[in-house]
Amino acid sequence: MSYRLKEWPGAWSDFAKGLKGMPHEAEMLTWMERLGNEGLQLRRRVRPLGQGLFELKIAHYRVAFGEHEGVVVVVLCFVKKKQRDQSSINEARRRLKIVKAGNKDLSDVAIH
Amino acid sequence: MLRSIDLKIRERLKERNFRRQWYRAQLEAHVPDMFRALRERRDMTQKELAASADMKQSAISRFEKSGEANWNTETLLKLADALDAQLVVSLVPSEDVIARYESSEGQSEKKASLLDAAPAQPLVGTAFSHFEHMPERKEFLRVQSSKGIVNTEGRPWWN
Repeated sequence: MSYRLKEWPGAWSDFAKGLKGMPHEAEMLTWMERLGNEGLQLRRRVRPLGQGLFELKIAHYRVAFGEHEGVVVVVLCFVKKKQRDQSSINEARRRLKIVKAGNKDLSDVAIH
Repeated sequence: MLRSIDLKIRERLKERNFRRQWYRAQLEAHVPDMFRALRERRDMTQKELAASADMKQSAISRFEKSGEANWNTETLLKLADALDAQLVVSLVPSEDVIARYESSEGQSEKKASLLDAAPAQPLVGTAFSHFEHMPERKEFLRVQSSKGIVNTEGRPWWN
C-alpha cells in the first residue's frame, strides 16, 4: 500500500521552514519520507499516543499524525520543550478528531 | 482543506551540506531495519541471531535500534552471514540521486548546474551493503539473501 502525506493547514509546511538548515533536517526528512511510504507500518521512531494519534520523534522535534482514508495526515509539528507536553498532544488530538469527522474544508477551523 | 505535503527533498539535495547529512541519515534509518526484516523473515529471535553470530542479544537489540551509522564492517558481515545473506555496497553519484528524485516526483526542473558537468557513470562497489535509492518504491535498502530480496516492511510493533 502506498501512502501519501497530507497536512493540517500549515502543520508541516510552516514547521519545515524553521527546520531548513537545522542539524536534524535531513534526519527528519528521511523519516517523513519513510512515513509517506510505509504509513502506520513504520515502527522505529514512532509511538502511539492513543485514539489513532501517533508521534514521530526526531531529536527534540515531534510530528503528530494519524491516518484518514488511507492517507497519513500530519496534524501538528512541534518542538518538545517540557517533559510532558500535554497541551500539544491535546491540540493534535483535537485536530485529528476534526479530520476524522470528515471536515474537508478546514478553512473555518481555528488554527492555533 | 487538507493539503498534500511536498517534502521538497529534490530541492534540498542540491545543497552539498544537506546531501552529506541526507546520505548519513538514510543509512542510519534503513540499515538496521533491513537486518531486522531479514531476521524476522528467517523466523529468528534476537537471541537466536546473537547465538549464530557469536554476539550478545543486547548487542543485536542495540544494533536494530541504532540511530548512528557507526557499525563495524566485520559486525555487519558477521550478521549477514548469520542471516545467510550477502552484503553489497553501491556507490550512487549525487547527480543520479537527484535525477531519480526529480523523475519520481514528476519534476522537470533543471538539475543543479554544478552537477550537470559530472558524468553519471556507475562507480565501483565492494561487498558491504546494497544501497538502492528508489524513493518511488517502498523498498529502499535491500539485503540480497539466498531466497531473494528483503525490504524494510513489517507489521506494526504495537500489534
